[in-house]
Amino acid sequence: MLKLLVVDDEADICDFVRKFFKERHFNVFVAHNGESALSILSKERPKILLLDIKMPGMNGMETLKAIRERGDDVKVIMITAINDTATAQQAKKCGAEEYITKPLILEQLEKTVLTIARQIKVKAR
Amino acid sequence: MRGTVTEIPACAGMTKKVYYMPYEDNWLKVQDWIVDKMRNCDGALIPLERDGWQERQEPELDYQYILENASHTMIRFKKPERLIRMIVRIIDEQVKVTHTAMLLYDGSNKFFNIIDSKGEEGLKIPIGFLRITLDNPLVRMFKERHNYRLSENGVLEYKELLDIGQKDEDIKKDKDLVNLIELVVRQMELLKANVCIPIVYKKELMGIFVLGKKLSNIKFTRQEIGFFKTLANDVAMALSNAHLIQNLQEKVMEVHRLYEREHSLFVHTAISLAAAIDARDPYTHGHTERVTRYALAISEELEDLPEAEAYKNFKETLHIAALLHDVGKIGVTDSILNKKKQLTKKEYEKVKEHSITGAAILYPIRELGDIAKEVRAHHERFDGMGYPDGLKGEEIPFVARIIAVADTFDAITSDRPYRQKKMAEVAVQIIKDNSGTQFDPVITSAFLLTYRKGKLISAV
Repeated sequence: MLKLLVVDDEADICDFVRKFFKERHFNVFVAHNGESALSILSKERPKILLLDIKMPGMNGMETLKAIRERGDDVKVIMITAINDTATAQQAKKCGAEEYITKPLILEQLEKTVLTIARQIKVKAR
Repeated sequence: MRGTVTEIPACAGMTKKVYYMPYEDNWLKVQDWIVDKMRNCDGALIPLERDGWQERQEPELDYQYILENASHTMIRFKKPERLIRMIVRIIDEQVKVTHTAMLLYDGSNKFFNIIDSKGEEGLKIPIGFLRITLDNPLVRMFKERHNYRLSENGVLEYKELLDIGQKDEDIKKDKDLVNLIELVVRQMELLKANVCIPIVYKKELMGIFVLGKKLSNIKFTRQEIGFFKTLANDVAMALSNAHLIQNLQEKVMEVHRLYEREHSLFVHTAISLAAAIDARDPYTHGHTERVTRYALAISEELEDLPEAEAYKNFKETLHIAALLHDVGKIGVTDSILNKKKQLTKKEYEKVKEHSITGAAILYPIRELGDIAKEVRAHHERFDGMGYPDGLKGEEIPFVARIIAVADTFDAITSDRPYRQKKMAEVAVQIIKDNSGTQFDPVITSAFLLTYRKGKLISAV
């Protein structure tokens, strides 16, 4: 089972996304801020990261930069408010795979994650 | 009674305890109260009508009755958000479903948004988290009204949809519909929806009401589905009411803005016109402006009189009329206007024509038609000895009677070629002495009051 980490300060979102991907056969971990995301990353080494940009404390951008500085090549999908696409584009430059705007289209989230998961599996073979 | 909750204890002749619901105010408190009462409901909830008590049998489903009543009240209060919050909350607590969500169409972003939701951990769709776009099969199904081909009341039930393509021959033949149903099934799976109800008003899809499974895992009864449908209709009604009211408010604001703009344009035109008149007559420089100021000051003591209330807009009429009262002086030659010596009788007759000329100038202008008669009459005397028409007492328009006093006060207190400047006290005495003859006594006393309050002296 592929490990997936969801990082969002909103508990409802984490719960929903966790259940959603659990049912799609992922091993889902949850973090509510950048700091705990980094610690789960080093401990569990998830392959895919769903990262909210706006969070108190260490935000998504800072977290992404820290991840890349550590040389971690986890696939990152940034999730951002619709009016913050400029930041999201910047995030792509910083090494994010994709960005999705909130409110999001559920199938789009599903498709993005499943596509990346497939690529990872193909590579691993 | 308003905003309070009254419990009437059981008494003779009443088998059940009856609760009376407050009619308006403080809805959040009331919602708490409703939910609390439903938890240990031992009686029916009865809304208190304005004109008396209303009795009703205990309904089959307590929450249903309560919610129906509450929602009808909400519609009246035009608070769709509160109605939605209350519906979602009560369904979550009373109907006992895994989760429920209300999606509403956001016209500016052109998608459906989760406005409120409740439910079990992981099933509750987070508010604002996802959007349903216009090309979503669920939206297409409702917008194109295919749902009414699938069920009588237009409500989509997951289990019914699964095999409807096989069961129903008509649907089976319609390949497009069969495809759409498959896509809708997939959407309902994504949302883990057991029931989807369109929120429609006048064939316009305003939202979608999503319900999960019952915790008991039993199928929703027809009665329950019908009830949800009613709630969806209530939401639609509340939304459209709120929209209507908002539109109306915007229209009123727009009209108001237009009026303000036109009105200020109008007053400014009158002021420039008045300035033009003043400029021609150096000896009365600032006369128009002062008379306007005095007249407005005096009018503050008169606003409540029926004569003032008879005007559509008393203050405005007075303001404009005072600004334009001497507009007719345009027709008086400079040689007369600028003459330093006492005027001859003939010259004076010419000057007297200015009130008629002024009215004639203003009369054809639609907006100034009412002002014309005030301008014409501003030299009339209360005893009927004035000009040009010799009007008497109440025959003289009220505004013109006020301007007459203000005009005289300024004429005496300011420099004129044919009269020495006199003290304000002298002017006051003259006006007092001529009360009832030249001036309306009511206006004289208003003038005296204004003068004593210091509202005219400071202006002199």
